[in-house]
Amino acid sequence: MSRRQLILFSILLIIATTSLSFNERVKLQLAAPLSSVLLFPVKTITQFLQFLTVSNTRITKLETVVSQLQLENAELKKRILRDTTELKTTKYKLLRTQIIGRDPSNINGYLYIDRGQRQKLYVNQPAIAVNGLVGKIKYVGFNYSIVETIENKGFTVSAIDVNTGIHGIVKNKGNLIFDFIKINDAINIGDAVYTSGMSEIFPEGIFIGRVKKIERSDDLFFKPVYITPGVQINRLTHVYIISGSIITANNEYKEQYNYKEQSDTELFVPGSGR
Amino acid sequence: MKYILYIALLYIFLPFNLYIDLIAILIFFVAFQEDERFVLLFSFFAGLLIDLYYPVVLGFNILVYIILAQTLMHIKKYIVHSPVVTFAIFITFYLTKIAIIHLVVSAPLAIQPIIITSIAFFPIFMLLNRLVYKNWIKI
Repeated sequence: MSRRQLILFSILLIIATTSLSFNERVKLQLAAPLSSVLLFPVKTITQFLQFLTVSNTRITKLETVVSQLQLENAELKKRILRDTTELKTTKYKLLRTQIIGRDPSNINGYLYIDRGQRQKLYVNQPAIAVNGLVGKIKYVGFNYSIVETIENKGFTVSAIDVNTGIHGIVKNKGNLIFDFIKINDAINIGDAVYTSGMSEIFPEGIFIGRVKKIERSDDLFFKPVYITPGVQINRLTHVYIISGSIITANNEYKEQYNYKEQSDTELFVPGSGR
Repeated sequence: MKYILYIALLYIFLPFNLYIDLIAILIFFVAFQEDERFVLLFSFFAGLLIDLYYPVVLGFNILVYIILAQTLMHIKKYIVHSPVVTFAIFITFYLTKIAIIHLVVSAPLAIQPIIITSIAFFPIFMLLNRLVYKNWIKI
């Protein structure tokens, strides 16, 4: 050991033993400023990571709530617009799934999700995201499923323009088109298009997109209406599968209309096709 | 430049030291490969950071690390440099540290981190070699 090294070793040894010999109060007084300076990078990074973890959890919860509220909201809007005999509310159960892959030959057409038969998923269950309709389940494996999205050519869903109440069918023919809109129908750019519920697959009130362009056509009956989808498939990281619905009676309506309930089958259920 | 890397690694390893004693491996690596004065200062600084981050007794880890680092630097001149010997010395170094802390501070003896650290020693040692010397094995 060289002399310099010996001196250094002795100095460090003295510092260590001196700090050991201090009483608790002095140690605390020493540790506080040293800790705030020396541990600043670690504490900053740890706090930031904690913040991200908490934020991520909150975002996940809020997204689920937003999706449920959108469905409920759409249904309530419908209830206001239609007659007042609707005495039941449909609440949807949503299952959050992670997108684990995409079809390389049709990157936005098919999504692979991390839930399957094991989670009791089945073919044709609707898939949604916070911004609206994503598609439906096309294939169910044991631990995964494939979702056909609205960006897949040939995808079809019955739809309604909520501003005008015009029904039609949204089809993907390369572009998303709101089909079977008559020449005389007063449809406007910017109108919101939702699922109409005239389907065994999709419940009513899921946002599909907005009218982007209305083209003039040589067709005598129908005009092509183009839609911008609400969901950007290429930005999705997870989707929600509508896994079932719970139908609950609305007591407020019952009281308001002094409705005498006879049996469940006699009540009007929106989206039930009755 | 490599000294800055060691300090950065020290900060990165610090939050995980409770589960796997990465800092013991890092100090062992530095003591084995680097200049003696730097080793002393580095082990002092590492001990200080551990004492501040996991406060038990201020100054205790500093003392343990500088004594162990000094001992390691002293004996490394007399040993055959081979992977098995390096591993055996690390285990001795690490278990001595654990034993001192356990006996003096009465810290609880957690078997799991000891096993994980022992298993992870060689891969991390090789990674550090690769990172600092661009060579997987430099013993």
